Amino acid sequence: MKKSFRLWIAISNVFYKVIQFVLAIALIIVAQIFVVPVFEEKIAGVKMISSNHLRVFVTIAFLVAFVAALIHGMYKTILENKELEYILSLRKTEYYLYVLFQKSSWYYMYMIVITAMTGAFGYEKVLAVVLYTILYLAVTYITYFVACKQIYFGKDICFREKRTRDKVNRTKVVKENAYIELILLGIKERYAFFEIFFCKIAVVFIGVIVGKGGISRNIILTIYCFLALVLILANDAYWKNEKEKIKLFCGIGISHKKYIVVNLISGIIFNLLLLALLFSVFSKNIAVGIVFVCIGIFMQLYWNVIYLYTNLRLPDDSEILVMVLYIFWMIIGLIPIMNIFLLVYVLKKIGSCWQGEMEC
Amino acid sequence: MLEIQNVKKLYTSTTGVKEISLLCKEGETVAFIGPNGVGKSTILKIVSGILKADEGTVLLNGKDTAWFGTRQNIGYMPEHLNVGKKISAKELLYLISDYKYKGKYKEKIDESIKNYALENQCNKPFCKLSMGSKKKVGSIIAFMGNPELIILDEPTNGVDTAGIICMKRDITEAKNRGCSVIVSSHILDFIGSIADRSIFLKNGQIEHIVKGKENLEEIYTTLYL
Repeated sequence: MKKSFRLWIAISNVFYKVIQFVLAIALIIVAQIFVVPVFEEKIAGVKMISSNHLRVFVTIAFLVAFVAALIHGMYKTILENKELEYILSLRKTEYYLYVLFQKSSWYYMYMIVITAMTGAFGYEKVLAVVLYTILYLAVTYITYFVACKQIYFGKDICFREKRTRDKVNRTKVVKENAYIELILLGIKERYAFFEIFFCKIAVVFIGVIVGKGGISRNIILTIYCFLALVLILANDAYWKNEKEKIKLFCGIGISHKKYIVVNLISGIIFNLLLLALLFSVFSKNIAVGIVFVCIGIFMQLYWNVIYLYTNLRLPDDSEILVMVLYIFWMIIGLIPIMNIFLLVYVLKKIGSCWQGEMEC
Repeated sequence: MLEIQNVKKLYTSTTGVKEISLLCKEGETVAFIGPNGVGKSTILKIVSGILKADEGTVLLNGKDTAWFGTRQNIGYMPEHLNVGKKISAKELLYLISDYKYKGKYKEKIDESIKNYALENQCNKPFCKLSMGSKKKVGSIIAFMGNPELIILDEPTNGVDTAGIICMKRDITEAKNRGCSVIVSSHILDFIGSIADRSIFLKNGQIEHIVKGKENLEEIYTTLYL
């Protein structure tokens, strides 16, 4: 335990982990206040099946989706760290605890959803948290050993990535059109990140609950815009991965406008398409639907540009500065007109950075 | 002494290692040579115990290298090493010293950092070092604790001349201590200067074995080009 914790502290950014923990606690409280009453009301309103049975079904569906994502995510982490585990001569349980600490955000996400879905309060809630934590530990422990065994025997279980890659390779149009290939690659790579994939599942899940809630159109629109923003911001891991590619694209003379357009389209398809479909089904109003799509596309463009600017302009080791700037840009992004001015300004800055490539 | 007995590991019907047997004596350096995808890294991973062979065994002084206790006697430099964003090269080396050798060899680490000219790099995050500097740190890791077997996977990739000279000196010192060294590389001059035996792999099998310092480039041209 001590070894695993020390390794985790040595390797992670403690400040970032503390912020993540505080945010998780805040989200659990927010979910208890706002989501639980709506969820309770809705499952009580279903007449075909009792609310308790429905709760069990929803919980099982969530657990199945979560475990599927967990297996993939853990496999990837263990595969990436296997040499480190070897040279540190860690024992299996020590390494398991390290992986558990390293991926603490999974537990937070799991707890946010589980505590929102268990209806009880007080003593029963505490009992549910304890029991679901035991279940989480049991599932991760089994998953860990299965993944270790698969890696030790040299077997690949990243089905999703392989399948998507094969599909991309098979399509003839893709081979002939580099931009379509880049768009498909953008979508595929977002799916390859556990955090983004899981966030999409959670956002769609919450979106369906909210849509079924019978709330007024304007409130649904606000909630859907918030969900779209959360999903766009969850693309952070994708943009970090893009950093090296951006330098390469700059270097070989690809225009920044084409790069932005390609990423805008892949972002819209991954982040907004499904939400827009759900929204149009639940709102049953074309005008409000168009408003959501327009806001969504603006948010996608705004954050694509911000991420691109950050990657081009800020040095690699300025994580805290980046975080502060993101908060600033998020505030500006919520102020009408100001956000358009900032978008135009940053776009111009990117143009000059891209042209001079390494001068920024 | 390292014994590789009928080791077989196939990823598909054509890729992987088909059947390799080898005996590496104490103080001997054996090099694996061959183009990309011929099975060099696979055989090194099997020898280290990271990967399980479909068939066959690997024994170091009679003990299976897959056994956890044998790891203490193996120094391994992987082809790629992923560590977190924050940890510096020096912190990583100290951590290995603490975890694997109970805090021993820290003075030796400082000395190696100086020898490999890593003084200006060692406090930077490991993941931000150049490929050559990462390999130098990998070399310090592999030689730490005077292990009985040292495995070096592509040790010279991106390493500067000073680093290569230092690496050669470390290999010679290890050999003189009676340590077996297994190395894979594409740099034939480097292999020619350190290896007692060079093994050419083709289609996952041993194609040709060279003892001493024959003209490796000529053999390579005949076998692969």
